[in-house]
Amino acid sequence: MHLTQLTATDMAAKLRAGETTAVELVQAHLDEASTAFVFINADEALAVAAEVDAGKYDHTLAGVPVVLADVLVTENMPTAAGSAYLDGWVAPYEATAVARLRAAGLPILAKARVAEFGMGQESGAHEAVANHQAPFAVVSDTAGTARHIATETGVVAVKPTYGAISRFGLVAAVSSMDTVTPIARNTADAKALHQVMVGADELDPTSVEYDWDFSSEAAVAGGTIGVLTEQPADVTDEAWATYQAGMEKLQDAGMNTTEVTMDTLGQAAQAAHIIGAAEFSANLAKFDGIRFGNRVTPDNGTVQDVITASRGAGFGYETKRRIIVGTHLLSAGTIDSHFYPAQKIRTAVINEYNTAFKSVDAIAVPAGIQQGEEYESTNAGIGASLAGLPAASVAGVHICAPTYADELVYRISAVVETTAGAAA
Amino acid sequence: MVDNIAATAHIALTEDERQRLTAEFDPIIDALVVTADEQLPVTVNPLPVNNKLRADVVANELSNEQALSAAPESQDGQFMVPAILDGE
Amino acid sequence: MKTALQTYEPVLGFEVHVELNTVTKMFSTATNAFGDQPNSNVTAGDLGMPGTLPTINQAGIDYGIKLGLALNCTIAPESRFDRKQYFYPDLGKNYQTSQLEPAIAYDGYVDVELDDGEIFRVEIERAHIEEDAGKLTHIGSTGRIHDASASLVDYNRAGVPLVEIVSRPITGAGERAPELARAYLATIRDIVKALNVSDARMERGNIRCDANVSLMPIGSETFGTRTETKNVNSTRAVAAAVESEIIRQAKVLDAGEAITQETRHWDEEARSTRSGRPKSDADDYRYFSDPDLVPIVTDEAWIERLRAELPENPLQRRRRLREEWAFSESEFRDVVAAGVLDEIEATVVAGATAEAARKWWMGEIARIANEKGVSPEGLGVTPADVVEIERLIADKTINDKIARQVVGHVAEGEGRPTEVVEARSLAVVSDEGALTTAVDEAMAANPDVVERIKGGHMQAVGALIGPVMKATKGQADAGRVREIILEKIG
Repeated sequence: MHLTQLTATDMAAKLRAGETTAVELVQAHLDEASTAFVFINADEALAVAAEVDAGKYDHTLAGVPVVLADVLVTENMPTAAGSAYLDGWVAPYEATAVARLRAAGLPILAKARVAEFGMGQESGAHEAVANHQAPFAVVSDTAGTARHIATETGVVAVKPTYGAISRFGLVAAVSSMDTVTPIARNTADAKALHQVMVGADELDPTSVEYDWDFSSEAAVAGGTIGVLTEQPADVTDEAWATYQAGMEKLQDAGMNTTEVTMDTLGQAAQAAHIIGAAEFSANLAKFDGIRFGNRVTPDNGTVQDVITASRGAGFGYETKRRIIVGTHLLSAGTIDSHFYPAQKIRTAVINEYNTAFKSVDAIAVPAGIQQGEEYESTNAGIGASLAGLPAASVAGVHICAPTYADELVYRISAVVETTAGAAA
Repeated sequence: MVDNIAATAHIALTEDERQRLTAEFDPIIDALVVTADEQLPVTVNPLPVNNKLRADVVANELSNEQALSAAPESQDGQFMVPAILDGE
Repeated sequence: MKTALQTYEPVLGFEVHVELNTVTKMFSTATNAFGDQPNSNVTAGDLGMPGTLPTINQAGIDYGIKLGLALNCTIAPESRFDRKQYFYPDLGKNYQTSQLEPAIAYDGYVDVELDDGEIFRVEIERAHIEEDAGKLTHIGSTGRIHDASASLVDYNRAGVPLVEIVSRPITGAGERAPELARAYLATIRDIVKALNVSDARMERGNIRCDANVSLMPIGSETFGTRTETKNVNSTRAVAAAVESEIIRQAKVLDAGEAITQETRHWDEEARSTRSGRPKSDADDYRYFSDPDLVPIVTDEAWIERLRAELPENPLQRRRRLREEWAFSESEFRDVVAAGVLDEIEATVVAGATAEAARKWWMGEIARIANEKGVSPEGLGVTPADVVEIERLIADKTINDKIARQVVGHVAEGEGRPTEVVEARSLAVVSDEGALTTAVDEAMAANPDVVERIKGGHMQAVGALIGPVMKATKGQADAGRVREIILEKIG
């Protein structure tokens, strides 16, 4: 079997068994590199691989190559976050998640194409993983986007509990929802990648202190999962059949199912859009053409003109629209009529999840629903982002569980993916 | 409306963008109406974490060269911008 | 101003920004220091670089709470940080991290002592924690044809912790408004200095005051339109600015015109305020809670731990010391004005009498310091030195005149007083033989004086002491010399 056809876990096993080398693994993937990547880090990846082969690292995943969505800030490689404003920028610091990957000896193959500031359906990382150009990748999930694209591309995305993986060095879109997220062709690989990056970080005050334990081999049997029993209007027959197949697997594995409905999710998309646009508008104010990024200087322009022109030239239409909407939503009057109510809806969503999780261990709904163009995700996908829940998109099923129950999400995901179509 | 907000947000719009956004703006805002129980508190951080404080110890400083490494324009170790008049 | 105040009642309000002297910035781990190489005390976060996040400095919070407690405020059980948004090049993120509602501390008061000892209570609305902005320098053209000039931005100060203390509107000061303004700012300065939460050097901008002034017709309950005079940075200037603004506003109102709500700037040379930009209450900063930071939740244990660290309130301390030292009001006021209260207290604690401590700090030490253009405490003479000098005088090792020389030598860095006395051989001549010889010589050289003393003119003794002191190079104990002369003549 060609090296790129292996799972990350198998690659690691072959490396440890001496059946391949890290340099071979990196080279095999570099040979497949495509336009999914905006920067290919060939020389450095091969150099790290050579160090792995020389025995410098002892992490189990050392030598298994990884790809980073270009919203993760890296030293020695440019970071543009899909924006003309940042094009060509190289940071003098690095994201904590990336630093942890490097410390474990994972060669970084490439930076992958993203929609501007990660807000949209464009994801070279998902493409690359689906097409065996990388065994796994690190992306950003803001309001379900990465999980939604995973459904479209047939890969597994597991958004951790908010704050489980440091956001330091993740180009901020929506601070209260952005989550560094592993994607892979199967659950085990996503979980392995997750474990390299997880853990509190003093550079991120919203990162959480928690004694993570991913070692459980426990079966899901005996647990209860909240499910949908009736096909929603916006779920296609095909998507519903896929979902039901996944639920059967869980029942076969001994999970009890019970119907769960979440009334507050009806307003989740609007609330996430409001909060998202508002935070986005403020987070992007730092892109002003003064300290970094691409400046545009109009003739006889004042400093304020320079800021306006640089942002005008550097941002694409959708970014501008989101900033302008967000600016409006935080303005006098609208902040009371829209923004604060959206933050209250968020509270209601969290409360409703908390209530639901008193009777179920996790909730599974169909992953494949199209919603609007701003946040293409399901209400459940958005709900998990609003509430900071760990959530997986796997084989057409969206699974979420209480905060800190990331490990349970992985175990349920591993069962769901045994349905046809989910394979490495 | 759009022009005023774009000015506040310091974003130059092309004429095409301006027209498109003018047409899209009101429908977007109208679609974003939510009705919440007023008694509920707002949620800012999704997880209830408090008091993440750090020690008062110097770390992670950039050198002057690193600080200016991506500056579009600089002089004498400082970032340079067109003149700013007093009084804002 | 007197005329103005026959018609109008002034209403004051102050916003005082205090720069905290933490080691690092409020939301970044960069050094909080003044005057270093530009853009060297910065992290990527201070420059608003992508993906960076703020972190909260525990010391900044502790200092804010202590300052709140010293201002008799309630400490917020839960508060958080908010983004105050506006585009300006001195803000690396184009928003300032500040506190909207609630502030870390609110609903307090401070007692301000006026010149005659009267206490005026100023209510404090809030004291919130925020970050300072960077520094802009305007420079001339550098080879460009069309540009008149450019500005340079240094972010070293960006992110330095500030506490902004906002008073409630102050009424009832009347003609003492300028005096109150001065005393209020001095009181705030004394408090932050005593707390050691700020370097408190106004000339360096560690404390900056915005003064709000409005007038209303006497008897009215409705405040007039106010102006805000920005960055008045000395106690003297704030008094002058308030007075100047009262006079200016009264003229405008007398002419039947309306006061424009605006920010104004204090012009030190013209001794008046000048118009700045119009300001409305409707300035929309689009404040919202910073989702990158989590709430500050205080509990009793935390607050009480900080309360236990509070120094004595400066006003209470001054009253206590004045009583303990038994200085007259004017003596004490001079001591306070000279800024040597701490030194005198330390000197007394080290063992000197209050009177002796005052004599030295207000006398020779102040004189030398003045000559050198430094403050008395910066001269290099310590309270322990003063005690040592007093001891050397008491045991007659040196006399008063030599003691003053010793102070000068200590100030020059020649060592502690005993070392100076030793190194320079300044100890009084206590060798009776040498003294007797010097007395004999003086008596032999001045037989007429000896005769006059024998004739009962005791004050003529001085005419013999002089030559003896000269012979011993001033190092004789004048009292002992007198005794020897009288024994011989007696």
